[in-house]
Amino acid sequence: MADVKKSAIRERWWLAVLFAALIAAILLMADATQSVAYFGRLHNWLLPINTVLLAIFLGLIAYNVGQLLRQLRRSAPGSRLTLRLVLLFVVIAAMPVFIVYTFSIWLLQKGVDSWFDVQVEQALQDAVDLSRSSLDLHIRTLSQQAAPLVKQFVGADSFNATLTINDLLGSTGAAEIALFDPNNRIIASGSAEPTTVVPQIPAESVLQLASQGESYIALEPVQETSFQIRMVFPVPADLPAGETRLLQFIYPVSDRIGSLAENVQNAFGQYNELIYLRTPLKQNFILILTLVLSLGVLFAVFAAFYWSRVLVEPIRELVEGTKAVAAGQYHKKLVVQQKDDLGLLVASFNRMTERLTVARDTTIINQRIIENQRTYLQTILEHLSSGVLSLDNSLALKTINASASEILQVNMNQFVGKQFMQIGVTHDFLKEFCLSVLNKLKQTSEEWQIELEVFTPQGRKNIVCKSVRLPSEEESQSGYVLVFDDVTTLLQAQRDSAWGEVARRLAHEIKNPLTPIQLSAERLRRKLLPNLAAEQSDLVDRATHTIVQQVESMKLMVNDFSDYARMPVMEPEPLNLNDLVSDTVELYKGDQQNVNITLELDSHALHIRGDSVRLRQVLHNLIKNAIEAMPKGQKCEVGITTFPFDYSNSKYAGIQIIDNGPGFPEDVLPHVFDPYMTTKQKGNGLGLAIVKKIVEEHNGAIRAENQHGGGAMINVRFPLYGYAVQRDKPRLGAKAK
Amino acid sequence: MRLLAACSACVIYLLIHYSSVAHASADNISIKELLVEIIDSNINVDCRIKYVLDDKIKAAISNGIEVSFILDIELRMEREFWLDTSVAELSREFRIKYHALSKQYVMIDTENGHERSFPDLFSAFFFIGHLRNNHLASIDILELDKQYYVRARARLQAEKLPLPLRIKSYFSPDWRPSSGWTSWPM
Repeated sequence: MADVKKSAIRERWWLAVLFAALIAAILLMADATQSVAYFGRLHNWLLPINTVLLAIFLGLIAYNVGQLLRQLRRSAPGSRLTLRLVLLFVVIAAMPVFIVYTFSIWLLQKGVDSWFDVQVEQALQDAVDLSRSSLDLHIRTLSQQAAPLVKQFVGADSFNATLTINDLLGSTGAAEIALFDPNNRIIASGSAEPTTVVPQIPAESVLQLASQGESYIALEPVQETSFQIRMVFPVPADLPAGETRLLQFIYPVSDRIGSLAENVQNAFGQYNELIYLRTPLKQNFILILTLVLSLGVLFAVFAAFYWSRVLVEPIRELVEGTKAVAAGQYHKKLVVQQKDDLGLLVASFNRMTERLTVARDTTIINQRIIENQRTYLQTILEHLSSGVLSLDNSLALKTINASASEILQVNMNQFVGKQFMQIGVTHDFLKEFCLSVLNKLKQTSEEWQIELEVFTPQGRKNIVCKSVRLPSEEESQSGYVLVFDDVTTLLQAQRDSAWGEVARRLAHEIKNPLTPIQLSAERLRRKLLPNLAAEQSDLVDRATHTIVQQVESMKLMVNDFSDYARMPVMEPEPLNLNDLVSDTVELYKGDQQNVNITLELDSHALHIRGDSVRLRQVLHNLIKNAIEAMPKGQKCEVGITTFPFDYSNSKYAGIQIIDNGPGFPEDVLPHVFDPYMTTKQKGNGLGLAIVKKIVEEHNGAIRAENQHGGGAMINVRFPLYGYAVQRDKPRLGAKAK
Repeated sequence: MRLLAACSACVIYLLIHYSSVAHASADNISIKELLVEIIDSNINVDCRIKYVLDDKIKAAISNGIEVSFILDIELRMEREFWLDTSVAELSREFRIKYHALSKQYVMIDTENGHERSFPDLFSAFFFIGHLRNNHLASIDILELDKQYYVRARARLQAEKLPLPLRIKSYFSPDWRPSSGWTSWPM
């Protein structure tokens, strides 16, 4: 965060320095245009400064362009916005610059041209011409004076020439007279100035001119402000083969004339120089202007990059932050670099992420708490022996527990999310149960409880069902909860207990008077029988015999009651059910002609733990029941099958006994195991009740039903010995399942 | 990539540099002769230079622009395994300007301030193209076991041109003619 701020400050300093340099360059340019001389002095600084600035700006812009292109290629957040802003800034900056540039060029052209005036130029030219005319007149006078003197040097030797020169110096007013040979060597010379020893040699072109017989007469500037007049005349040779020599006169021009002429010359020269330099000067001004304005444009482009970056940076960070938040990174913090609206936005984003983080953490904690509570409740529900169902307001099944499936004998998981009535539609035996519950639910919204009887494939069940409405502010959470218990065993136990008490009291109350009755009858018989006539004796004999016989019969019946009520101590031991069945059936072989018992025993030993004596009694009762149920004269076919099977995650040994009798009457079938329920004339109705009692004492179950083709079918099961009872782990989320 | 760019820049610079030098030495100023004489224990140099100038320069002079030419002469000592060194140097600078009133070309020797007028540029350049008895150094500075040579270069002093022309000279070699260094063995 500190690095970002330092970088931003450094960039701003760079921008300020570059801007200051740009302003300095523009000011120099403005100053330079004031005068050519000033421009000349500043020129040495203008070009290097502007060139360096130009290079810096070009480098910075190239770097920024490269950076932006890289960002565009990888579709970095904010890159397109940066491009748009840069283009916008550049266009905004370039348009006025272009106008200013065009106007400045026009102004420069006009401005520089305005320095020059045609009239001034003409005046200066006239002044020069006037000066020339004046001087030419003077020169002409002097040349007319000097030209005739050449004859004096024809054929003159060096000595004579020197003498002549000295004479002429005094008479002509010349400053210097010299005689040269064709090779420009001095033959003779003389000067009015004693200090001048060596005469001024004529120029090469003058020599060439003289060699052609022409004279050379010219005004020559000397030093700064004076002039001289040089006249070079060819001196003809005195002989035809002789050399043409040169005679040079140098006349001074008066200081007054020289000074005036020089002034004219200086003014004309400077003006002429300016006119000549006008075009290059304009070109240079335009060059510098172009340079400075280019710098301005480049600075604007660079500044556009900088400010675009500054403007886009918070937006880019916001985009990245939003993406991070969308990806679940609520801890994302953005750097607040500015104190403007965008900075406020970034700060708001940071506050939002902070709150989101707190809210997310709270939600996670709450979810964990809810999950724990849900798990806790689910565990309780799964281990409840009561079945629990929850329904929503539309009476669709929401949740169930495992006991609900076990009690109703159907897999309830398949009905989760479906209408409750769908259970009754799919399983016909639950139709009455479902209708009763639904009616009750529709009738009242208060808490209610009903007891229902359900005939499941495994037998009749008594179910107590309670319901309460689930209060909730949210519609989706409200509904009903049904809790139901299988009270069949409880009711049966209560009934058995009641019947046991009845039997015990009956045995006690009836058995006691039976012995005196029997003894009294035998005593009557012994005392009276010998003393009575034959007819009477026969009557007494029959009467007492009947009394004794009925008493015996009643004793047997009382004993049976006594046996039913008595709870003998069971002595369980491991035994093979196949062996038990074989041994028991063995007793019936050969005794009865009309009975055929067919055994179909499992190939594997079926080990159970039980009291072998009592289990034999069970088998005896069931076989005897089958045989006795058969109408007289018909052959009784009894089939006994043993088999292992799994039920509700437990392993059992099963015995199935079927006969070819008439089966149970339909109205008796539900109560076939109740005491005193019999269809036989001599039966006391305790046989199957005792069988059921013994089976249940062995943790087994018994079921009676009729076969489709006729005949009764008794199914008995016992837990296999050696197999621990395995139950599912507590099932969580039964609804989801 | 950066190395390639740097190499390209160097090649472009060298091409521009040598093409301008070659252009200047071929068409403009050339040193035709350099004669070294020992006179009275002094090393004197006679130099003959041919000035062939571009018309633009002649036009500038004729329009009153003062143009400066300089002749640099060096006495150099050869060294093995190292760059040669200069043991004596001489510079002669001449300024030429046009005097409109007299229609003369004025040549000023900046060494002594002497002025001379010439009716045309040919005469003026003929004058500064034949420089005699230029005292370079005393013979005493010479070492017997060393090898020496003299080299000379004549050029227009672009840095002394008026500013507008000076800027032009940065971009055009025509405005900065030079003979380049010409060496003669002693």
